[in-house]
Amino acid sequence: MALGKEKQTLNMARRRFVFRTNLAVLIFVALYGGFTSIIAAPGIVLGALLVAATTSPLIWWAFEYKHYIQSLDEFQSLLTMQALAISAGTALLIGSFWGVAEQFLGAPHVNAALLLPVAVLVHAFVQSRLARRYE
Amino acid sequence: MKNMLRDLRSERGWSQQALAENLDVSRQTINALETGKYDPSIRLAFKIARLFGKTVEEIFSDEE
Repeated sequence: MALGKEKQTLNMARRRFVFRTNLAVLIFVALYGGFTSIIAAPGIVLGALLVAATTSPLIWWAFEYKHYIQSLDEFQSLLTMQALAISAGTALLIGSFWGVAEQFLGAPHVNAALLLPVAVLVHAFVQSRLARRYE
Repeated sequence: MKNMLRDLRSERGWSQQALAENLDVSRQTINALETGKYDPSIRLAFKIARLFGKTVEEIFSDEE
């Protein structure tokens, strides 16, 4: 039906975006965790290869994010950018708080490489809240 | 910013979805415009004006 077509297209684009970006972050976390537990002190060449292999899903993530925003209308794009700003700020806040807790409370060390997965989790929550507001 | 979008749409008997499709935006965008939660870009404002055969000033006013 014609009236439902736009909504279906938007929902499909959103589903594709959520699936692909979540998959990219999951692959990143799996590679990071896997390589860290297997290889302790790689040489320069192997180290560079590990950096390239581990971070390549993040490039895919960034590409999917850009592609998704370009597919949205101006208001939806604004909502998504708001969600990105809130999630990035929240992840940075959590990172700073955690760093202080590591310093003074002996909290377990968490690598800053995991900031993006934290931001992605916050982003999913914030975007769903923002989208629901205008349903 | 105030606008007459809901009135103009109702006059034509269009749903939010139908208007959204005419303007190539999402229904959520129409909802946000009609409830005054979002002010459109100049480009979208002109597109809306053209669709309804009016000027931008006839549809949008800068009253709060």
